[in-house]
Amino acid sequence: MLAITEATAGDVTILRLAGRLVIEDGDTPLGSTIDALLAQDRVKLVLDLRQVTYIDSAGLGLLVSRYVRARRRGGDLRLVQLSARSSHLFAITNLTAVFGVFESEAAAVESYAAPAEAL
Amino acid sequence: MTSPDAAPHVLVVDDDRAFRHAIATLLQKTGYATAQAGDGVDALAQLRQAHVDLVLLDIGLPGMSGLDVLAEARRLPAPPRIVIITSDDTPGALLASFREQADRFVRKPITPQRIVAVVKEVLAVSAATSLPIEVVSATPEWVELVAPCSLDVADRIQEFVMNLDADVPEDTRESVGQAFRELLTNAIEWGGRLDATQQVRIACLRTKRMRLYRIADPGEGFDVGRLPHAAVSNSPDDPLEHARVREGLGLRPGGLGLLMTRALVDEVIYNEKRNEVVLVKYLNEADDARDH
Repeated sequence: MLAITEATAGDVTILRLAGRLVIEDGDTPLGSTIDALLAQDRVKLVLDLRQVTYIDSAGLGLLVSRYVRARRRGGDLRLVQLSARSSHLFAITNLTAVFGVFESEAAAVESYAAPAEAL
Repeated sequence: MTSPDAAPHVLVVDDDRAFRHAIATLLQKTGYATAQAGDGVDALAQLRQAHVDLVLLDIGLPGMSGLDVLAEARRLPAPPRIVIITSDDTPGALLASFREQADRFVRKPITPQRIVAVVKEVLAVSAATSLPIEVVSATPEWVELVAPCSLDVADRIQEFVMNLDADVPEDTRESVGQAFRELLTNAIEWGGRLDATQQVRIACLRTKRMRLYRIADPGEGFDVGRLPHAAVSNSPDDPLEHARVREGLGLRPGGLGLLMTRALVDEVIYNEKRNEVVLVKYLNEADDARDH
C-alpha cells in the first residue's frame, strides 16, 4: 500500500510517498495522481521517496512512464532521497542518469529554477 | 473486547504480558478492537467464543505451543487470519507455520509500529482472496510450493523465502528476495494471466554455497527475440526505449524485471519454452548460513 501526500511550492508539485511502490492489479494510485496533475498542466513534479520501503520493477516502470509523459509536456519528474537499495536498482536498470535525484525537497524544487533539457 | 464491533478484532497471544499489553494498546489507539491471551488454551477458548479477524500469535507459549494453536485455529468454521510473531528463528518454525497456512511470519524483535503495519497489510487483503498455498515439501534444504496465480500470494511467498534465509547477509538476502519476487510476479502475471484458478510451482533449494529457485508457470512461454517492450532489448544509449514501446502497445508500465533480475543474482536460466526459470545465487564462505 502506497500513501500519497500532495504539497506545492510555487508551480512545483511535491508528492510525498510512503509505503511500497510495487506491482498492483489494475490502476495505480500514483499513476492516476500524476496523470491528473499533468492534465492540469502541473508538469513540474517532485517525488519524495524517503518513506518508500520497497520498489519493484513495476514501481520503477511507473516512475519511468510518468517521467516520459512529464517530459513530453515540457515538465519533469525529479526524485528526492533514494535509499541505498533504491539507488542500486536505478543503477542496474540504467536509470541513474535519467532522473534528477536530490538530497532534499528544497533542492529539488530549487532545481526547477534552471531550464530543463529537452527530451 | 475493548472497542466497537465495527472495528476489526485482533487477538494478541503472547506469554510476555508487557509485550502483548503494549501491542494491544497501540492497536486500540489505531482503531482496532483487541483481546489478549497469555497461553494457547485461553486463545483457542476465545476464538471459539467470539469472532476474531486476526490473531497475533507467539510460538513459544506455555503448555500448548503457538503452532498447535495455529493448526487448531485453521480448523475453526471461520478461521481468523494469523500472523506468527516469534523469536524462534529456526527454519522448522517457519516451515511449520507456512505449512499450516499462517498469513505472515514475523521475527522478534519488531517495533510496535511495524506490527501495526503488518496487521493493516494482512487485513487489507480480503479473506476470500487469501488463497491457500500447497506445501509439497518443507525441509530446510528443499521447499516446494504450489500457489494460485494471484499477486496477493507473491508477497506472502517472498516474505517466507526471505525469512527462511534470515541468517544470510541482508544485502544478499534482499537481492535474492527481489529477484525471486520479480520472476514470481512475471510467472503469475504473464504465465498465469492473474487467474487464481491457475497455479505456479515453486521450488527453493538451499545448499551450503548456493540458493536455487525454480519457478514453473502454466503459460505457453515467450520468445526472447520478441520483447521490444522489455528493457533487456533497449539500445545501449536509450534506457527509455522500452517505455515508449509499452505505451504504444497499451501495456502497463514495467519491462525492467528481467534486466533487474539478471543483475541481482548469478544465473537466470530458462527452459526452451521459457515457462520455467531457475535463478541461482552463489554464496561466499562469509555468507554461510548458520544451520549448515
